[in-house]
Amino acid sequence: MARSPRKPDKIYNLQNGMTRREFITGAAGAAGALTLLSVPLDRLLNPVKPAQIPAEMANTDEKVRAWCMIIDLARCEGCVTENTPPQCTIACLGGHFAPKGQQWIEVYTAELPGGGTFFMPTPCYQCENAPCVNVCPVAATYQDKTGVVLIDHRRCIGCRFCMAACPYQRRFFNWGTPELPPEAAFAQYSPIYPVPAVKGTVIKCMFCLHFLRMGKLPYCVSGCPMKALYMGDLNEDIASNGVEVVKLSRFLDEREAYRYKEYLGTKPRVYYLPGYGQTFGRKPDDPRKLLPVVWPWGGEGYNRRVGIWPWGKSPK
Amino acid sequence: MRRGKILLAVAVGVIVAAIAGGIAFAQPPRQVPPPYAGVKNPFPWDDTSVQKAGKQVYQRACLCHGPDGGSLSGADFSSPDFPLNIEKDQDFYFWVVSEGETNIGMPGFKTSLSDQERWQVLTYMWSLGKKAPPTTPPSSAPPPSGATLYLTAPAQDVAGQPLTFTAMLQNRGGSAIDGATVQFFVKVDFFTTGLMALGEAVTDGQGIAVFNYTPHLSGDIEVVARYQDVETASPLALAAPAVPFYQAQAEVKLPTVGKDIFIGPPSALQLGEMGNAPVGGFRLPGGYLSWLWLLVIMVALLWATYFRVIYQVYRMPAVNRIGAANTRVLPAIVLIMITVAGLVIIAMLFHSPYTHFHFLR
Amino acid sequence: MFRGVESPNERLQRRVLAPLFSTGAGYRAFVLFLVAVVAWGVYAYIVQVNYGLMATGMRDVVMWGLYLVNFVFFIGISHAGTLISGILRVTHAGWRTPITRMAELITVVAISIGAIMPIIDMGRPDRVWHMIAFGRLQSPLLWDIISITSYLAGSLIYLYLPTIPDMALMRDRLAKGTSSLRQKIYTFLAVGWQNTPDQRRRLDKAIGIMALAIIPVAVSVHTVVSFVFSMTLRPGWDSTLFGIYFVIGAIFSGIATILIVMAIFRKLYHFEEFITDKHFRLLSYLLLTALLLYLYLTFSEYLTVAYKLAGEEKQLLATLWTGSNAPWFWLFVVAGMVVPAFLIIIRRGPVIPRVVTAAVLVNIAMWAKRFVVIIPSLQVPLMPFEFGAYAPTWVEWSITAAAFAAFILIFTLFAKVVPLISIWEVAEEQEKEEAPAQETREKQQPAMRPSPLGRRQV
Repeated sequence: MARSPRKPDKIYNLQNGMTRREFITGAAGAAGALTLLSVPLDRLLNPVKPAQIPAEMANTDEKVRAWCMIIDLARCEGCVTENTPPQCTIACLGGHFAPKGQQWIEVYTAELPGGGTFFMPTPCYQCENAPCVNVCPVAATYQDKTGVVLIDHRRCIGCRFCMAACPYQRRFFNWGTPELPPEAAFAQYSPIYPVPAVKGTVIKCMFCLHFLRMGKLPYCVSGCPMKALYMGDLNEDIASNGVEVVKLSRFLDEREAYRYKEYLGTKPRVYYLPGYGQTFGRKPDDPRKLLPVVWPWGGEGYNRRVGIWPWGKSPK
Repeated sequence: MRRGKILLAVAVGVIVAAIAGGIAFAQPPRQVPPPYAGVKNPFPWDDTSVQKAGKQVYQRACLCHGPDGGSLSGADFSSPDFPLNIEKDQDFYFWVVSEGETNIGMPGFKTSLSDQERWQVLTYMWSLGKKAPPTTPPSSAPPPSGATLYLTAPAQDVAGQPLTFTAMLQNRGGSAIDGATVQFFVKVDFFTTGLMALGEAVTDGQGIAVFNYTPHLSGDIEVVARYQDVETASPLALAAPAVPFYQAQAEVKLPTVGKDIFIGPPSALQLGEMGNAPVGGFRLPGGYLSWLWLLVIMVALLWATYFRVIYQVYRMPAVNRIGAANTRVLPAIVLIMITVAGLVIIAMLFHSPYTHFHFLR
Repeated sequence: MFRGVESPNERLQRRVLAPLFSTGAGYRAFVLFLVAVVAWGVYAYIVQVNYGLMATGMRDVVMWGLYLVNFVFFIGISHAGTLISGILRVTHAGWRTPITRMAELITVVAISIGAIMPIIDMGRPDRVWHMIAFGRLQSPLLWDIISITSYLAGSLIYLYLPTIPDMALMRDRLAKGTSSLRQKIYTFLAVGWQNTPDQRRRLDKAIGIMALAIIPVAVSVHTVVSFVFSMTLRPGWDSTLFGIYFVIGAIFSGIATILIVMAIFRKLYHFEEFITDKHFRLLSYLLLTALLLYLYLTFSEYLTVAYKLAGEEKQLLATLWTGSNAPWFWLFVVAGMVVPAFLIIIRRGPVIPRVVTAAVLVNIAMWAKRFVVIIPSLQVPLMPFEFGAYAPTWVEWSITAAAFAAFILIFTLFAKVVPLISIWEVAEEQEKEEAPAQETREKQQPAMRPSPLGRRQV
């Protein structure tokens, strides 16, 4: 190293920056401090808040549950005889003030091999091997210990990877600020009762976990006039639609239950009992179609167009 | 004589006070103010067209109460005495629907619903208490058989242990009935109280039917045996099992040496119980000999290479000082940035939240 | 100068440094135009942040659109620098020297713009920090973050290192007269380079290590980008080939981008002497190799799907081959693979127009290919309902245009700051080429030797 022997070390250091030793200690110190800081910093950034779930929704159920749903397609006739849009959908969106366009439980018209149709109510299947939980980069969607897949809308970054991953298309995105009725503002937000919907996040059916914890049935189960939806506990081997109680394993076997697209390996928690509404006299070739779902709020929903100079014109 | 009169007066006074208190507490807690005091439903309560219109309104605005009116405690429209209550206190209910009770979260609808709509919805709510849920048409009642059914079942056990129920069937004369089908149920509460069918057993020559059952239920239930129109019940207390029956599994279990190592806040292991998405902690999946080390080593090697490269620049000797230029500042800054970025990335490799419930068993 | 004749070295420096010392009106107008486009894109983003992603054409069925197409596209062309600089340096291919700097710059700019795209796509960009504080290692998006950050850091280093001697050259050029801010900056960036043997040794070592280290990082980058798609159960994405498919595609579009950038700057700044037909020809062979590999992988991918026609894949192929997405798909096949192959193989006519046309077609087709990979797979319904529709809005087109404009803008600005050709490497290469001729000349006239870089040139 070309070093002028007359200059004292100190000035040389000042003019040429740090010595190697100083640098290494400095860097190591900074790195070490940062690592040590990261744990309490972690706690600072996400302090362990007291339970934010409202008191009545707190989990007072001492039993270990494994929630599942059984949908008896032999009883579902799409509410065509009631002359209303599917009641399960209406009850769900009404109870959650779902933004216009979102059907967290959606009744599809599916085809039978002989050309007839049947109706298939489809909530989120709360898969055990949920692809949505697998891909979320920030753990905004996670599984409750009863198996229900939840979303924390204060964590979701809106990347929509979970929506791309879901093979059942059961997740919905809040593309803008949802237009909701004023009653929605009274609700206290929690991941198990995600009301009101948060702009820029993903939302879906949560099996009404807030009701399950209170010992009540979800909106769709209690709203179905034909009592086609059953809520079950795989642990206790029991299921109920609000009127009758059945032994779950026997019910599934005797009625030849299946799960939709089971071969994908998602292990869904919703079982279908094959049928086409025959319990209430429906025939497979019944031409009556589902009535379109109506949201009591929302104007154009998320289909509003945002023009090149939108300020003040379109609602935000 | 005087003492007796005083005693009688006190007794009468207490009784009157109790009645008055009862009446007072039975009333709605607040006085209905004008202009709502004394208003009456302009529609007949049993008018089905009004109820239908009211149902439309209900589904638009009242579904917090649930589709059957019973979802909110403190205001259960589905109970059988609700129609009587609403007929009696119709002005009170109209007042609540119009002005709301914002301290308990009930909004007022006088601006969003017209008077007519509000009465329509109250008429519909009246019908909720009257409505019985539709079920499959009830089968005709079985003819009286005159038989007697005895049930022997254990009084308590642990869920998961096999139980045996023995039913003995005798006819009116006291002799055994052979070849009869006895149905076995469990009366249990699961969102509703109902009889859960377990199965059937056929009586033998002695009129005895044996049914084996391994319960997964826990709590206080009743075992019920039924033959035609005869039923007997026996209480059963089941303790919860030590290990839950249903064990979900969603991964291919690879052999590991030891359990996961986790350093972090305990809330990270409480999936969702805190009402928040899970926070992370520092994890080594599979114990100390974790596959994660491979990834960490690769990334660390890469960033160490960057460090080494810039270090070469840092070590380039200054040949002669060019003005007051400090030739090591830029490499030093870059070295620090590399170190920080590299460490943050490596920390991110170790730091991760638990999101799957089956990994936390 | 020796007897009024410019040495090759001097001509090299004069030509390459010319843009750094003079700026025309055309340049300023062009920069202004690009800044306007970028500003319009920023305005579009502000509208999007205000109104939510509702301002785009994405909805619940097709929930990823142009932003992710741009993301994959820009990360794809970022493989240019690695291939040219890294692999060719490791294999001692001397012809690479005039184009390494442009290639490395393409990498850095493309990665930067590509990495911003997913953030623009987010519904809650105010929560980007969640990915660091709560990042889940099991998520492919997090692998993206780690890989792209590593690649950005590595390619910045790899861009910077070979510029050091040229920074020193600029420093020395500007040293006459008073030391301006510009000269101070160059001095700072030149880290005291005097081309001493010791410094040279260290720089060579540093560059050599980086050239080797950057190659696996680059391969990992586009592999993890492909994993974002192939870790889902969508038709067309549920493929085991995606890793290598995307990497080859990236190399393919990267080489095409280099060809375009080379051609433009060669024309603009009169680099004809240094970037010659030979460079275009050799790069075109690399382009052809990548094309053939990509064709092979495309064929393999679609044949295995088409042979079985399982479930939703049948609908996917229907829309790709004969449905609403058919124009994009066939544009990609014909303009991206068939026509460029012929343009390169049939060597009639001048090289540069042929090869540059092929490169332009390839890049357009590769953008269309990224569109065709992402959007049709989302349109196919997974439940019994209709096909999805996707029509990008003005916001998405504006931001796409701004991304391309930003890319070009950074290049344009960079051209005024650092020489676009790595002067010292080209000079060295020229020396090496002249070395055999030199030896004969030396035997005759030992005195005449061009001076190596480092001594002040007049």
